[in-house]
Amino acid sequence: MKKLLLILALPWAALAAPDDQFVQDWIKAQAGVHSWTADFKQTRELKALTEPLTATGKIWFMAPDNFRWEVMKPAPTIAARVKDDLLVVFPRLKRAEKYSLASLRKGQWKDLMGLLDTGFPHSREEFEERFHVRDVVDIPGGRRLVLDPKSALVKKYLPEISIDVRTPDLTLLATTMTFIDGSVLKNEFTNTQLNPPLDAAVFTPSVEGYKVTQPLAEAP
Amino acid sequence: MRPTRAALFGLLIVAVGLGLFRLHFDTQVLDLLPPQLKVVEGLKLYQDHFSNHREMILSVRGPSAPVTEAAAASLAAQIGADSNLVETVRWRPAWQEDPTLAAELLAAIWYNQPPATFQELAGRLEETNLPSLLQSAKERLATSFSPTDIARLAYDPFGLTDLPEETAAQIPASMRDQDWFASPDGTYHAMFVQARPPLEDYQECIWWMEGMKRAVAAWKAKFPQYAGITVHYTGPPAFVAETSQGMRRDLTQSITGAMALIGLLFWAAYRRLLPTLWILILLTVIVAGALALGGLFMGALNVVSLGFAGILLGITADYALVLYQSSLAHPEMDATAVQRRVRSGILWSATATAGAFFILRASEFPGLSQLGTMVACGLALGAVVILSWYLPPLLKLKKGPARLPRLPGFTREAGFARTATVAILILTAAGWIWRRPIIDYTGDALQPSNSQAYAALQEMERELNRSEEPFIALVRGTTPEEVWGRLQALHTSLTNAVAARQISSFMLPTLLWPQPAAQQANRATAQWLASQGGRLRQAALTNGFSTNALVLADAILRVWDRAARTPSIFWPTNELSQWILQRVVAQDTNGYLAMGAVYPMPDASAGAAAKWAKTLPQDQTWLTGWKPLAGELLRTMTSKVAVMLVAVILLLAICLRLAFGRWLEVGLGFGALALSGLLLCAIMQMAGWSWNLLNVMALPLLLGAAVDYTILMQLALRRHRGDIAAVHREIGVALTLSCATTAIGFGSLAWAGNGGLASLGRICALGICCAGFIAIFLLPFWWTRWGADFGEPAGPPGMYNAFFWRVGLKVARSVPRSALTPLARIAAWAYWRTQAERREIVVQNLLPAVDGDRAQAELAARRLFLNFGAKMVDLLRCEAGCPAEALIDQLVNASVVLDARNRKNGLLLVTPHLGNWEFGGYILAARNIKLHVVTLAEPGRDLTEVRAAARARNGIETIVIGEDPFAFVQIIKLLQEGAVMALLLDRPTPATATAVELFGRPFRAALAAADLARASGCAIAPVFILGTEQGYMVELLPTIAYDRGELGERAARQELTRQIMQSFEPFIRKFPDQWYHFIPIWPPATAAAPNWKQTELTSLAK
Repeated sequence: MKKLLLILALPWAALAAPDDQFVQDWIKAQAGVHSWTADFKQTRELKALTEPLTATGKIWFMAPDNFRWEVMKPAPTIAARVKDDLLVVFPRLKRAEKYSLASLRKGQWKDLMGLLDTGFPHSREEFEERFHVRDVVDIPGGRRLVLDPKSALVKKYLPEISIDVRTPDLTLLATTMTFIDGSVLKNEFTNTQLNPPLDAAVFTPSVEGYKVTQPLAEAP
Repeated sequence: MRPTRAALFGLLIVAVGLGLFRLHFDTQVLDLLPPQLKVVEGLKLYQDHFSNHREMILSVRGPSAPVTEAAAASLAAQIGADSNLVETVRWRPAWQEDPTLAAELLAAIWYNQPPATFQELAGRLEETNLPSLLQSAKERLATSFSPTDIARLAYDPFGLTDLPEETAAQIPASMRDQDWFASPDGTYHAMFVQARPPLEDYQECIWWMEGMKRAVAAWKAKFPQYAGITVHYTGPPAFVAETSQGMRRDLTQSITGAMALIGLLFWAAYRRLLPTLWILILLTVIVAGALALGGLFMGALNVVSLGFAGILLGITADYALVLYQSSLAHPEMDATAVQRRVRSGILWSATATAGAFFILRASEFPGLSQLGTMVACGLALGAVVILSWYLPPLLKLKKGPARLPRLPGFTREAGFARTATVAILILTAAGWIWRRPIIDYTGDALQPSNSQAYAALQEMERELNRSEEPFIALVRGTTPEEVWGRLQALHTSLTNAVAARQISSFMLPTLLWPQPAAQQANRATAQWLASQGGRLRQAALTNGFSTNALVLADAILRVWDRAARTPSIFWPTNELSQWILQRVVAQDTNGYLAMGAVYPMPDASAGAAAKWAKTLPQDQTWLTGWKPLAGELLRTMTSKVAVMLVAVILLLAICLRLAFGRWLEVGLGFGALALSGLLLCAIMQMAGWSWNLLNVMALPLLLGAAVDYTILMQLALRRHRGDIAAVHREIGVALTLSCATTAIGFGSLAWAGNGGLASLGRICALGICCAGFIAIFLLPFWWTRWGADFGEPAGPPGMYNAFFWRVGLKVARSVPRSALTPLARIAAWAYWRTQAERREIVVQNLLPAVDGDRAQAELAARRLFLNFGAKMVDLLRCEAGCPAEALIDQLVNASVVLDARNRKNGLLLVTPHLGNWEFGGYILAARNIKLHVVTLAEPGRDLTEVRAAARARNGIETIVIGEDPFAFVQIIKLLQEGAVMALLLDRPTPATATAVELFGRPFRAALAAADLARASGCAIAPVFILGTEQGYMVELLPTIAYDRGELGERAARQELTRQIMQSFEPFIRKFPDQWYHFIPIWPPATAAAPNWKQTELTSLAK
């Protein structure tokens, strides 16, 4: 009888929602993250290229929404975000691009540019507004959250995003974005430091002497 | 039936059939707008060239993005398979299905660049530059933070999508990430369906839309998982089908609704089935006839003009009411007599009301103008049909006395009027304190109300983030170069407008517009680039790119190759290019058109938009859209309505003044109208109703309709000397029913599919109710309190004064009689038609002379007015110095004058106001007999002197009797000396009046003749001068014999006066149309007194 019940229960178990408790715990754990730094290795396996592209760099995060991604190789590039202002700096070209996410309409460019902070959700509501958790699977040393973006525009480019989380401390291991053509962009984080003291100036890189443009500003 | 009549009837049936056959619905909103406005011209250009009338937009809404997307794909596949209905279905961007399709547009944009820019691109692709270019591309791919950049650059290693900065800047940022098919959350999807049939008329659109709905239903049945998906329809075919079906429904509903309510009202008032059924049948005939007229002369009805039916029904039902009520009030009369009694009133009312509706033609809105014309024509037809056909069968089939409806008794209580006045004042004040009038500055009044297609369109704009509806910019030219020049000029103006924050942004098709000069110069470069395909491919593969990365570049090179081999202007032609270009570029026999979008500031008002549009280049350039249109229309309408209102108010003031002759009653009339207007606004403000482009025309309409009530009511109050019960009995019920049917007529439009028309109907219905209630129930009490005036009979017409007399003398002197007489008769006819009160006085004056036959009296009265016009011409000519002798045709019994003169005895010629009595003096003067005219003082200043001077010029002496007691002494002395004197007998002053019997009724005559006979012993000869076809006939009757000694008794003098008056009786009876009295001459009858004759004679004698 017990076996029969087990058999009957199996399909239901398969259909049940992903491990909601894990998602809940992971998002909750973010409340304890005030700052965070790591080295990253970015691998881009693009269908249009015969070989993967790799880049290395460092990432800084300070709650609630200050970021700095700095690619060191092959060409230095910095993306720094303070609240809704995003600055992308190309030191070699002495050029910078400014984006004001607040002025961009919800659900469009904002969704795409907002992917930079995918690994650090503010709340469950905000997270669910942007993603649907398709699955939670085990990986070596942790678990992987497989996400469907809810924004139509994001989904047009990136039908799947995954976040690898280390267990049991629930720190970020990697993020992976899968493009519509099957290309993959993976960020792997190492040398992570939780709540190190950070200078706010880190998030406002100097663009003195640079040509600064605002590509998405409304202009005829 | 006689053959001629049968032929005419047959012809009529054919005309009606032809008219109804020709009739169709014009579903275009643009046809409702003034075509001469530039903004409308622009909208029409847009509709003719850029609106795809075969493209329906179908929206799909689901619970989640994946389900919605799957449903959209499935539905597109299902309906796309129906090749009889659908030509193409596009449910997602073409470039998403085949990204290489975008290559053609991109190649064309490069091809139109300045040659230096295009050569720079070619330079980047030189063999020596390729390795570094490709390396740089890989670097960007490795470091970019933007997923879109990564997706794009992977397939564009040569940077062909990196357009020059100034070119890319021409696309507003808000447009770059625009998804034209899906909402940001993916739960809403739009698809564009191109119909296979040509959809040339609305019937085909209805058929096609029904087919599409069946196809969607079949799809839902086939795929139960999509049963919960919501599908909506919009776009031109959906609008046309919905509007035409709505028009049919509106027409049917307004006709059946109005007919049902009118039927109920008739039944409630009279409780007679036959009159109710018969009026409904005739109303159906009238509406069918009006529709046929519309079909014959206009061909099409639009969404506004079809509202004519309800209004027409409401107003023509009034005529039936008046006829029926009149027949009930006069049961002794046959149908012809009743028709004759009210015919002029109905025809005049129909003419006046039709005229008011005809004024709508001045609104410049073709819809309203057509509505006004249809109602005006329908009213003319309705008046004739009702007058001719309504009463005869009813009276033939009449069974016993009918019930006469009455207004409730409490409505005649002063308390009710006081309470109602106070309540209305409080309500009005509350409405105005609550809020000011709401004015709708948008063009929404022209849009359909409760339209599913419109709601679907709004939903699409909202979901696809197009919340701020752009203005449409159109540029026209005979060649692409001309269009390009104008686009450049417009671009400069719009750029300045953005800098000045007059608009938010704009997008002109400058990127897509071909530039022949640039294309010519770029041809060789394009050819070279096209030839470099192999080398570019090799370099890309060598630098780590796969063949996948070269698809776009290959496609672009192929387009350049094709462009370089095109000798004329190169236009992109593939599916995607066409889909985009047909939205912004058009070509017709006159040349080319380009369309752009201008995004206004979020808080821009319609008025500001219209004003700003005028600052842009105007040469073959249009800025249009609903907002500028609304602003322009409001500006036009505001000035138009203001002018019309002022004109109507002035006209009303003149009409009221002429009708009443007293400013107090004019004031009361305007007071009632003003309170009605304020009350209407107050209720509108409390109900949240707004004034808009169409319903603002209710103001002149309401003023025209409501003024009738105040005139009719105040004149009735005068007739009944302030007896409100009698007034209510006579016209209260008729006015109430008339008001109700008119309100029903207007009210039947309240559910019309066009929002503006519906609001016009609502406001007119409410306004009519307000004006009717105030005029019928409150105005009588105000009148009795402030305006009551029933002491003296009405005075002579206001225009009988010295000024007009002098003008008349001048005109008579300079214009020939043959020209002046017809004009005077026309003027007299117009006076007869417009002055109901004066007309009624004359009719009442003549009734005893025609034995109480009202019809005869009316006929005689009408002729009297015309005769008076001719008589005035002759009189003025005489007074102006033209000889009278030539006009005399007969002189009967002239020896009377000569005998008297030979006897050296004074002669008193007595005459009533019969014929042209004034001529006597001029005829005698021509025979060297001096005449003394005894007259009362004329009304107003100077007129007596003006006329006396004119007589004096012709040797006639005027003796004015009035307040001067010595005037009589002088007359007696002259008579004793043998003078010939003339005296009018039938309009005495109160002091000299005595009661005599004329036509069996008491009559006031002057005792003066008898008094003078007693004092002087003169001979008294009755005389009159009648107009005939040949000229004037002067007839002297034998002198009246009397015993001078007996005249010491007043009774004997009274008897002598009676004898004199009765000597005229046969002639007045024979020529009532020349007995000129325009003020009441009979004392009011007192029906309640059984011995009225004795009572009144006694009272008059006293």
